[in-house]
Amino acid sequence: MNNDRERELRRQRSTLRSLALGITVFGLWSVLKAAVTAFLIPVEKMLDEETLAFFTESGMRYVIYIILLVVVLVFAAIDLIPRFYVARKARRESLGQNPGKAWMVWALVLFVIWAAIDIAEIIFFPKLLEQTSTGRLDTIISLVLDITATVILGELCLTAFRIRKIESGEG
Amino acid sequence: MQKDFHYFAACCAALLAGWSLEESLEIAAADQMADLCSRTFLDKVKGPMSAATTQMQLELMQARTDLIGLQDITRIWASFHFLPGDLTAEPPRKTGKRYKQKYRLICQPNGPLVKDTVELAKGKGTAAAGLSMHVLADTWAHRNFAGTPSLVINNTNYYFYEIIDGKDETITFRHSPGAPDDLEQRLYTNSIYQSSENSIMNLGHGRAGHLPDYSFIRYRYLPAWADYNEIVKDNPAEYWQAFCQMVCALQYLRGEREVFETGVYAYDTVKPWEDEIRAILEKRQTDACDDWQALGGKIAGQDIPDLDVEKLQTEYMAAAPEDRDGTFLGAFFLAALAQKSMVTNKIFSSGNLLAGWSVDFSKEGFRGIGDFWKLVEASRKGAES
Repeated sequence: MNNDRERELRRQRSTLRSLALGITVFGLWSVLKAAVTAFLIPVEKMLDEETLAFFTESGMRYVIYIILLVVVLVFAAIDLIPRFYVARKARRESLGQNPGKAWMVWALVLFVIWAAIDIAEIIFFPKLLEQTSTGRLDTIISLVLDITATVILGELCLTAFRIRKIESGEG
Repeated sequence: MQKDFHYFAACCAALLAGWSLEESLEIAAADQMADLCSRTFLDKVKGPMSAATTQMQLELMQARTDLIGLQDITRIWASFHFLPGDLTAEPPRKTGKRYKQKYRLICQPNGPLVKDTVELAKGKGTAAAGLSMHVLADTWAHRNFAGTPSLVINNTNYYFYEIIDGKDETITFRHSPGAPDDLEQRLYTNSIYQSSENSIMNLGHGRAGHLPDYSFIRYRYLPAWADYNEIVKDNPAEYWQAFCQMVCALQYLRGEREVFETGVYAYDTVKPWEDEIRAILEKRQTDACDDWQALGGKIAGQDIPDLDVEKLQTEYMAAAPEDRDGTFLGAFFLAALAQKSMVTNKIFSSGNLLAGWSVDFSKEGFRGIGDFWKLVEASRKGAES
């Protein structure tokens, strides 16, 4: 069928599919970044001398790396689970299946949280630049990528609402 | 389309159009030769390199995709396998010149170039007739794709469904050139996604796999150029029309019809065989050679032999250089040069440079270059006699 409604629905679904892919890729990127930050920055830069001396002298320096690994895994779980949930449901929506409405509420909640974090980052940006342990360029790139991810999520929410509107015959 | 339609079905069409069995086999051979006459083949038989009507996979892998390379690819594929439907077509939205030029190369049946192709073959013998049948038949199978590498025209996406008994069934595409298509599991091989606009993977119907070449299949998909309008492709119905149009064109080439008009089909002539032909077209199989061969045998009243390329090759290579144009392959090469020259010239004349700069080589008096000189000589000889 090739009426305006069907055509618009296909266009929005195609957009939604691309946005869902974007959410997934940005999720993987953020976990990769966390892992790189945790393991490539020397522990001497992360811990104060006293703590470092305690672990080194007691022959338990490896515990630092175990703790870092746990931190990265917890971060990955917290960060990836909601992203993958939203991306997976959005993909199903783009295929014309019915993944329910709950995922859209979660996507919106996630968007509000991300937007709040981004706003905070912008407000405290000068301070972040001063205190950075990974370099100024890295801080700037991180901010740009975080804002991009939030924009993608916002667009995903809008597209999902547009699809529902068209499907209900209002669009 | 494959050998089943380009050789055996073409033979059936020629027989129904009134050609003798010997002539029909020559027409069928020329039709199929269009899928075999690559530069590798021409190098082997010492034929004119510009007469290439196809490119083998290895040749395509080595093909350059700079401006000159793309023009060479476009000349071959647009002239013989993806004849443009309308060289003046306007895209539905305002677009840039480069996109518009590619859009205008989209293959469609019943375009003005189909008429030009058939008329060009008139009075040039069975080799030219067979070659024109290849071009005509492919306009039906390859419609909606362009004979130039282009992501924005030829790409397809996940929206691709096979229609079986009126229901949509999902299709799985894989990039596994060695593996045959699995009709039961609906696993089809296609070219790999390449985001580069001019990648060779985006040539013709590569992204849709061999689906356009199967007569039995019905499917719907979203072509990249159609602005989210889906296309429903009903191959059994379209192959039927292709067959009836071939019979009509072959009747014209034989002198039974005064003119060849697009959109005219020899339904009446084919009517007695309609049920059998439709049954072959509907049969779910990747290769219908046996069925078409059997039907040809019924129509001719004797067995239809398979194509013997070695024999044609030997005949051409054994002939003295000055006599080679008189052999079957020699006539085929001349027909190929004429067709390529005509289509390239039409594309160029429409203001489109995707097939390159062109002069009409078939016109007498032009001082030709390279091995197109052969075509100029043949035209002069024709004018003198």
